[in-house]
Amino acid sequence: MTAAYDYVIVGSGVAATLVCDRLLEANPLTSILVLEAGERIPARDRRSWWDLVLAKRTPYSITYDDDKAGGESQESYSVGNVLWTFKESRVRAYGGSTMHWGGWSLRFKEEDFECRSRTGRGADWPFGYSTLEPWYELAEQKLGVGGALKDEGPRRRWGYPLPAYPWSAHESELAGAFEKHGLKPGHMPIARFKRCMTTGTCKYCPIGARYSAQDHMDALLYEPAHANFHLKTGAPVRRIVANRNRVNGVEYHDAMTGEWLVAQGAKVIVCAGTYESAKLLLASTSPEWPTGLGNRYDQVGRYIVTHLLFSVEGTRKDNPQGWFQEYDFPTLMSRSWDTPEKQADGKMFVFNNRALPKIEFDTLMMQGKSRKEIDEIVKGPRRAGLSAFVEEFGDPQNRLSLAPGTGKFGLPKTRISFSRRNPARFMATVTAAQAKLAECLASLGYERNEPTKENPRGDHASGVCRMGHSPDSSVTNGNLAVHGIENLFVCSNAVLPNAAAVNPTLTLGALALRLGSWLAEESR
Amino acid sequence: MAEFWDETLPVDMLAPGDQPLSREEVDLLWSLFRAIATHWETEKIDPELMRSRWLDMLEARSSGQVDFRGEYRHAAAVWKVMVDKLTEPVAITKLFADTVVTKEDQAKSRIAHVKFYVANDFIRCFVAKGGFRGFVEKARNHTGFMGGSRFREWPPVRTGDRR
Repeated sequence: MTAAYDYVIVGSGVAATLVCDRLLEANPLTSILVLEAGERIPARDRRSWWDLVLAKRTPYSITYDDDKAGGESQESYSVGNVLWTFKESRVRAYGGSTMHWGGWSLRFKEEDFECRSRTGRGADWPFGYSTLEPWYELAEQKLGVGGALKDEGPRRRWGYPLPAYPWSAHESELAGAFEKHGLKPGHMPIARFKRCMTTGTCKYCPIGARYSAQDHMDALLYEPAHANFHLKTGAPVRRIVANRNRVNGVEYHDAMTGEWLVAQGAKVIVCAGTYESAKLLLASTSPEWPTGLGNRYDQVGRYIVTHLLFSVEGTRKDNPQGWFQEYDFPTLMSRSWDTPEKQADGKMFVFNNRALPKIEFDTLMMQGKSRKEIDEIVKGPRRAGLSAFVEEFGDPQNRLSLAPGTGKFGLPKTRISFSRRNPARFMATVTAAQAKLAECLASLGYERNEPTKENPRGDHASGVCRMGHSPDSSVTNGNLAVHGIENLFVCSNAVLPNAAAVNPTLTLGALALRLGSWLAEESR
Repeated sequence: MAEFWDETLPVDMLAPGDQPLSREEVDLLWSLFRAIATHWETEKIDPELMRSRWLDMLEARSSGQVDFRGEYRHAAAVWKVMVDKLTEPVAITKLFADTVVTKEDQAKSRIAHVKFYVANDFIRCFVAKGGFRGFVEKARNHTGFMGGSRFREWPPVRTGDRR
């Protein structure tokens, strides 16, 4: 059984949604099939909201990778000299990881596009910041980003679409300490699609205030003018069907019928996140592409990188104001270590720990504590924390590959080999930064707590189908087309040549809007 | 002889049955919810202002997976016996101060079921829907509370000198 579409898109996260947004804006009758391996998870659902508030149970946690070592259900494997953390790093469902993200929406900086030229490490982008700047503007509008124009960051022509969230009292105090320690405080730019003004909406939003691709994609699907726009969930794609230097469509599993079907498409766009995008190319072998599509030079899967998240916590003896984290997200950040001067050693992005100070009134009450006891705890010791992402650089020895078997969504299992060439030097840089952040906390009376071991988390994984000019050092070109295949595109964090120091989602959104607009223009 | 509320029960959740909660059962559960404010002396927070949100919770948790109606009905019955036999102030202390059940495998008696499956949820609902202000008067927001507005007349959280 076959079907023919102008575009077949694999994945339904922010990248797929924004590509569709542009294609349908240009021509509402464009025929598009979006294939999502996962299912629709509840959103704007009262019951799920109460389950979160009462039982702290999220509707998406069942989609997380199972990385428990040794079990039959294990889906992902870390095999390098640094433990790569898979758990809770991505949502495999309609809407992708925007179903659990915090909405942090930061632009990369000008120097991030010239990483190789400036530092001799990582890779340069095939274009500069100025090329992406208008698409950043549009992405901020689409995602509803609130931020402050005066804060540190890359060049901007205009302010943010929405105002910044004000710092909480605790963050206001921390901001003063930042200034005294050479960190210019700023406001975290956060995506709030429909102008949420509050908290309690971050892990899971019952009113669609936080930007989620599911919300946005639903709006496109329910638009009557989009008569040829279709989405299928429970439809894992196992390979892209290629004929020499063209692709014809994809082969996917239809959960409703149990059949393997081919969806034919004039163009195929892989928007399946970093892991699945690379794995799909690797799994799509053909006589012309025996090691996978776009992999003639063994580039697919290489250069995997993510951010190490490191933290510092401290405790002070009292909490006279009864402060606790009224937001469930940080609004204080600093990009003072995210500068050209810091680039060669790895830039850092500093932010407040979203969960501290913490007072768990409900837990204390359930434990049978009296009012007097709770009052003493409220005014008693207060914890605070600061965290940072640190940039690491793509290294050809670090790679993602296919592991034998398939996981719970019918997708191939994942193996990641990630090692640092000089781990002692890297950790010394982290330790020095932790000491500076601890000084910040100490200036406010916080005594440093015991540090915990830090491992890279897969949330911001990128690099495995990186953009570049040449097929022997990259997988896609500046238009996100796979080298050597004229109608196959990759639009996920996999294409980022370097990770910079900040969250990648806004940059991916800008790339998706640019790709969608370019394809629409090309088809005219 | 063991009191009614001390009788043994399996730890598994009670079956919900087919019927919706009766008006009397809802009223008894509401009195249990109100008792939270009494016990923790959060008199500045009027529980009546939380009633619609509490009812929303009750309705949302009375269907789907997992359906709590069996536990709600049982809690209403146990609470009624406790109040009738002990008086409300003593029943409140017994349930909220003397009975601590934070793990499912501890829910081995009637009162333990009430505490684990119903009272603990009511406590979380109470805190999230405004009860946190009973402990920290000037606090404005809390996970699950959704205080704030589409408009920017006032910030949604306590702020400091720097904004």
